[in-house]
Amino acid sequence: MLSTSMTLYLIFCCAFILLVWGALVPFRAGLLYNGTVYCMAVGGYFAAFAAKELGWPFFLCVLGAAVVGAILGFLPALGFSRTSGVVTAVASMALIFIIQSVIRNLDFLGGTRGIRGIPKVEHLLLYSVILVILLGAFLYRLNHSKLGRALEAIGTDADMATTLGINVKKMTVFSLTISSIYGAVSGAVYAFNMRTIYPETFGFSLLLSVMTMLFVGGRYTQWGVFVSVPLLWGLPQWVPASINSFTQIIYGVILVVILMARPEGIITRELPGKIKRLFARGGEARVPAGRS
Amino acid sequence: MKRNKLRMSALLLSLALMIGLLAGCSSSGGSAGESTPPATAPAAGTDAPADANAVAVTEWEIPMLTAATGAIAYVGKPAGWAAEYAAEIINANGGIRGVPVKVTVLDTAFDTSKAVTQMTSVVDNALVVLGPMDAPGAESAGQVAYDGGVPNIAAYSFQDIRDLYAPYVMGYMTDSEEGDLAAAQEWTAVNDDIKKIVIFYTPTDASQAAATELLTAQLPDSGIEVVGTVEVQTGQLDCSASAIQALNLKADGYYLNLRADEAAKVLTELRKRGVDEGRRICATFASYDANYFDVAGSDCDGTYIWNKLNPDYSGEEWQTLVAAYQQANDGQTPTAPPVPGFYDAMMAIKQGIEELELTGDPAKLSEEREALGNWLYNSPVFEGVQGSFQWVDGKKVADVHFFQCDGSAPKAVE
Repeated sequence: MLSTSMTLYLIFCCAFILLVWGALVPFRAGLLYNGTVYCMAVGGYFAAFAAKELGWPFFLCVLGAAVVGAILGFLPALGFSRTSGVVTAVASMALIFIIQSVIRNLDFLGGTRGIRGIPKVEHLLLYSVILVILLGAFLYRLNHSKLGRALEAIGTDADMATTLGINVKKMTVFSLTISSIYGAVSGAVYAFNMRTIYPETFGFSLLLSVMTMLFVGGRYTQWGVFVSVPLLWGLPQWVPASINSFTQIIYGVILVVILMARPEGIITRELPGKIKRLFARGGEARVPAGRS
Repeated sequence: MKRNKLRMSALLLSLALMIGLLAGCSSSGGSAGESTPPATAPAAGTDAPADANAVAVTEWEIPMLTAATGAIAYVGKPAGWAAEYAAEIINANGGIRGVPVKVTVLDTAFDTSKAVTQMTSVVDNALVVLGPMDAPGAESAGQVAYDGGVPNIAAYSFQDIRDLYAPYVMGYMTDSEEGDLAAAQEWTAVNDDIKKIVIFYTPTDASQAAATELLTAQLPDSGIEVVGTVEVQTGQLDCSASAIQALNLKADGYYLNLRADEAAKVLTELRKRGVDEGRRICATFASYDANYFDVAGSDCDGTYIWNKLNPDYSGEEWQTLVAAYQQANDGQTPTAPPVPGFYDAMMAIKQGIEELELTGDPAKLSEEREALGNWLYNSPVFEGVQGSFQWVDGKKVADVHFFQCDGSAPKAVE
């Protein structure tokens, strides 16, 4: 039987895996999109409100969070489809300011004090793992589909992608909307795990954590999060209490060392292919780079 | 190719099944937020009790959750120090029921999710938990403490939260909003020409927002009108625009419901822009910090400020604490409420364990937590390091202190 703290830790890992996947989808199209955290707030608050005030069951809350996240992610995505690169990164940061400010001023969402007393969900770890598997499988299929290859083409060279007949704007909107769904579902899991939700949570500190997890784990593959999230989220618990205060420094050192030693992150594009070949007798499998 | 895909699918499914089973095991045990605490060892070195009331541990271990890093580490570290210092004093005087006590400081980094994580890591085994020392952290981690049935003395500064988690949560300091109201009433009573005031506050701070709301609603009963509020963001570099905004409201007085750094900047701007009389400015307890007095300097002269402690308190126990604090902190004097707050909390826990004859026996953990929680939630009157105090329905009831600055030095107003 897992301890209470281990259960909480694993659920947090599930929430952050979903969140980092949310950041990964637009990254394939060459967009550093910071609105994933904004959608996490949307999903978290929606789920918290629906569960506490409306009495919705867990999966309905998650579904609702995904729908609301998709809508509220789609609308700004229409604007972001006209931007690229650094502009998207900076502009999408504004969404974090906006959502925090909106939540703080909405009394029915608890204002600055947030929502407390979110109902407890039995078997939350099991449900979270199921969500990770489902959304992980969806992401895997997406990455290996025409849409995934189109996103990768845009990420490689948007002009070239246009000449290949890819509608860059539509694909950008698509990737940001998918990213928003992942963010919103992550927020719902986070809210049910914390059982309280608070606007200040969804700030730059969280954004920084997400980006660190993405870059340390590997920003070109969906598998990197399985290394970076448990490692970085669990670090404060694993280090002795005496050096607990230095956790932020340790984070920084890990990030710098990883980026210097392995610029693509711990899990590179080639690594899943190599592992795959280990399972394939005689090295039959041939997986092209960037198709993980 | 197809065979490879099949293998990958099989691998994924196996992995999913394994994780699912693992999750199912944990869930069937009901570990997430379980309301019944497991009867596991409360501290290292557990011995078999000789009789029913004999102490069953060789050391009382009390976890202390505090923001040792992050934006409020300047009060988080003193909070941890105070709890550890109290443990030293207790141990020097024979421990609790003859057994030494150890405080384990855990960093929450002023982050609600880390506060919850740290609380979860101790909730299974602890008899009582101190902290988080910040309100958002406490409100989040309080749910875990409540579910685990462990008494928790932390920043429970709102009655609705104390009611929600009753009887397991107690505030380590008095309610800020009530102190703000009392201070504003005192300030305007002493200066009876102040009838219209402006309040500066940080909207992201729940406590400041609540206090501002309370003052706006309650001060008219004392004949004081709040003509406007001015928002100041945490870390705001230039406060001139905020000061001008307030000055344009043509008020008689200015209430700085801000943390030290922002309050010092606003105060300086107000004085620079024509508020000649210091008595027209009053600051809240959160401003009472060396940063405020150092940065504002002579601009503090004549201004008022209140605090939940009096750093110049003459009691012998407090003076000994101050001497120890100065030795450990380069000669600085403790000005943050968590210092007397957590020191007193430790002493109250000691008294509770002794009066209730708690044993620390893992088999009795649940009932001993409940007994201690109930005892603290509506406690007897304690003789604290800064005078008497008590918990009434989890709310700490104690005196607050009012000061007027002479130069940059605050002097207590009787």
